[in-house]
Amino acid sequence: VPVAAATIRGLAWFCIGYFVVLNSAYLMLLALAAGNAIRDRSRLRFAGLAEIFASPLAPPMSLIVPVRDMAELIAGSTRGLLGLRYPEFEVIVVDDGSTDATFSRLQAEFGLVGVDKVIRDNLVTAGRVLSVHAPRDGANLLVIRKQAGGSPADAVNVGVNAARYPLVCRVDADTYLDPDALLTVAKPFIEDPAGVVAAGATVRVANGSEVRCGRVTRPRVAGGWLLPIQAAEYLRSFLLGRAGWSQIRGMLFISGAFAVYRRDVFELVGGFDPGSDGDDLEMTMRMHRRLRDERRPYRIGFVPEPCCWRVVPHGYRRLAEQRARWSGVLAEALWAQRAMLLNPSYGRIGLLVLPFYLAFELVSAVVELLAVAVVAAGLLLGFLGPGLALLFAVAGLGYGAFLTIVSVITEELTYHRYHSWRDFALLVYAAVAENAGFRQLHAWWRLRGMAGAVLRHRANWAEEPGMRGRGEPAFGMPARERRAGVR
Amino acid sequence: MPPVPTIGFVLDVTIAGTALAAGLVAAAGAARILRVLLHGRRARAERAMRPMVLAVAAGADIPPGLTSARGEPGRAAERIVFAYLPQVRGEAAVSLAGVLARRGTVARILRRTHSPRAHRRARAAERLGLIASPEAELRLAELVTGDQSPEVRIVATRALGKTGSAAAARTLLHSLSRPSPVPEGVVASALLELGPEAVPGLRAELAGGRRQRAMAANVLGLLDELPAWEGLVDNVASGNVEVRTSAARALGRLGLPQAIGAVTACLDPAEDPALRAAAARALGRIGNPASARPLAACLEDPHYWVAHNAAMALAEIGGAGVTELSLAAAGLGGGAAHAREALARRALARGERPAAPAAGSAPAAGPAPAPSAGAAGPAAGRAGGAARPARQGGR
Repeated sequence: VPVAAATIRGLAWFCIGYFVVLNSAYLMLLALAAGNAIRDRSRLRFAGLAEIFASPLAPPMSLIVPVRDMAELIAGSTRGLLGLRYPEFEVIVVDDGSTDATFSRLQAEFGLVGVDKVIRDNLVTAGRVLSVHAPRDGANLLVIRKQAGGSPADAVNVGVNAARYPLVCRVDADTYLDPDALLTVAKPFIEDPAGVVAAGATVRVANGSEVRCGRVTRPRVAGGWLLPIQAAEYLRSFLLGRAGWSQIRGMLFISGAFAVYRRDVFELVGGFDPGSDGDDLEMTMRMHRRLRDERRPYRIGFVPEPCCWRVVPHGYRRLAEQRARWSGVLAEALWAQRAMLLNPSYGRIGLLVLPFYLAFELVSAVVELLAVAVVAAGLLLGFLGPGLALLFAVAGLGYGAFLTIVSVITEELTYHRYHSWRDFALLVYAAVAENAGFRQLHAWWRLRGMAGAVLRHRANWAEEPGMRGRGEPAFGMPARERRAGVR
Repeated sequence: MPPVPTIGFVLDVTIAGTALAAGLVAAAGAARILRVLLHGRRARAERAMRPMVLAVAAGADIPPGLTSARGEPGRAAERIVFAYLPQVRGEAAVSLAGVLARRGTVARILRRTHSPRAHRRARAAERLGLIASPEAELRLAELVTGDQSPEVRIVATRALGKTGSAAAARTLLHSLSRPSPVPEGVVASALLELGPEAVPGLRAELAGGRRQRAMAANVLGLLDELPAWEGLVDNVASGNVEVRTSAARALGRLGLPQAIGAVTACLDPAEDPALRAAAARALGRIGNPASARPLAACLEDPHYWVAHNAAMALAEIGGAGVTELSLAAAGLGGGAAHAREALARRALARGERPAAPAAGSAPAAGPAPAPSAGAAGPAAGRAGGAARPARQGGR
């Protein structure tokens, strides 16, 4: 009994220490990001977006949209992309073997006709291209139909092979971009053309917002339990977490929902790996490794605003699948790039960022569940006093809630995209409510994802977040949004 | 093992943390209310000041109310002036800048360009560009060449482009030879913004250093500076690939048939592929039927962009170019695929329905091309923009 009591008390202290270190690290990132957010707001006044828009020298961009079975969304989404503000760009929709009316919707909406097109083979792809189509009115749209390649990565690679322009931008079809998103994300490439090889942007939750013609016209936070929590989570993760990493040039990866790459570098690293579930994470890590191996100076940019909005899962099953997949992807990517871990040749990526992701992003799921088990067992068996249990709650849960509240407040004081009091209240509520049940569930999903990665379970298109299963509402979007947003 | 803290201590920590979080939330709520109040106050002040600013822009004398306004009305007047300055030219711009000078705003902004904070200096530089007075231009030139922050140098470069002075063009071009210059695209955009004022400096730089020559060629082309064609032709024949490519591109934009010989010489297979691709595009823009033959010879080029641009140029030329494309499209090689793509794009651009993609044609992408006959053209190298041209088709 004394040994068991000592073990439980020791584990409890370990968990408390772990959470204190983890949350303090996040607090430092938040401080960096909050400072940047304040400066970023003042920079918007002299960002020069109007000059970029008017300049014939802005680097043209190819927007690549991989789709599969997205008939309800694709026409509105494509229309929204074609209406973005940017001097010169093309939209390439790659239909990866859809079995629904995705292509016919596009054909009817844009008057597509079959055309000849020479597609390069710089990147290896799996699914064969079946046909290429362009609008009869000469709009800057290209639709490529291909055999199912099994992943969005393959579709994006085909799109890059067909792209005309030096910058390639991956955009998911269930993503809505702010009108100036391309101008803003192109800015790092214009101001540091030799150094910047990729750039990402903030992703926010679109559920609940008013969407018209493929644009979020009035950002709102959806009600319920899961959606406000995800909205607060995305704020913390993108607006402050990744912005913090970008301040110390430690961007490990950028979200595939909206990411811009220099085409030559994208091709240099071989594009997305069609066999990888987390194509964006895996590819960006490969980019880090390749460019550091070649000792080429490079930078991965991040723009906090304007941003893109993404529809997130609103049901437990899809959310669990998504989070398990993300965790598995992280485990696989860290394993694949383990040579960089704690390797001084890879600079801060190898010595700081990767160890952080391993110790805190991946392993935290295990510690989280271990902590719950230890505290529960300790209290039941009488090995832990209420003081220690309360300390655990403060260090693990209270500190975490505090960080999310700071994220929400920083957004409120800087970008202020949510105008109603209701949205502000929902985000504050979510920051607290996240810790009572969701966090523990999330840890469980992540643990399953890690186990799945170990057992080499592979996700496919059907498990992509936002990919609609048959008979389910489009992208888990409430009926009001479908009416407003998707024609 | 560390001593277990007492419940009282932990409760104190909890209460303190909760109070801090609640205080932050309350502060954010207060900031929300304050924002609404300030917005209303600003809107009222702007409503009061706007007619006076508009009257000055229309040629009226500066009313004392504009120069003496302090506090929120004064800030509103400055906001309105800065909002209108990019939209007006000539006398109106001078009058509005005069309002700022009399209010002491210009002196204040000039002082701000010495702020230790980079984003403040950048903000001040942006405003100096709108004011465009000689002293503002002088300070901007110092910032472009001497500020330690790349962000400030970039903003000052853009601002200098708005001043519309010939001296600014020289400063911008000379800044390219500094150790850590502003990115060339930003400088080129600023030169374009200067417009005709930049032309003398640009023409002089056609005989300057490598970077300056490439930049001058690019911008002169974008400015449609026809008299510069001879200098551009000299640069097309010069030694540096970057300069030659820029000059070829510029000659294409000018569209003068006098340049055909020099640009066509760049199509030689021994030349750099980037130069050849630029030359092909330029010949398309010039649009002379005499270029059709040399361009048609590039359709089978192993480099994707050379063949692609040649096909598109032939479509742009029309007439003889389309004839060459039609002949090539009837074949089976890589040139045929490029020719069909160009013909299809030409038809779409003219509002016509393109010819149906060839029946039985097959995809190009992927390591396992279709087994159907006549599907893929000859594989044509890989890295560096090489392609496997093939027909796409089938509906």
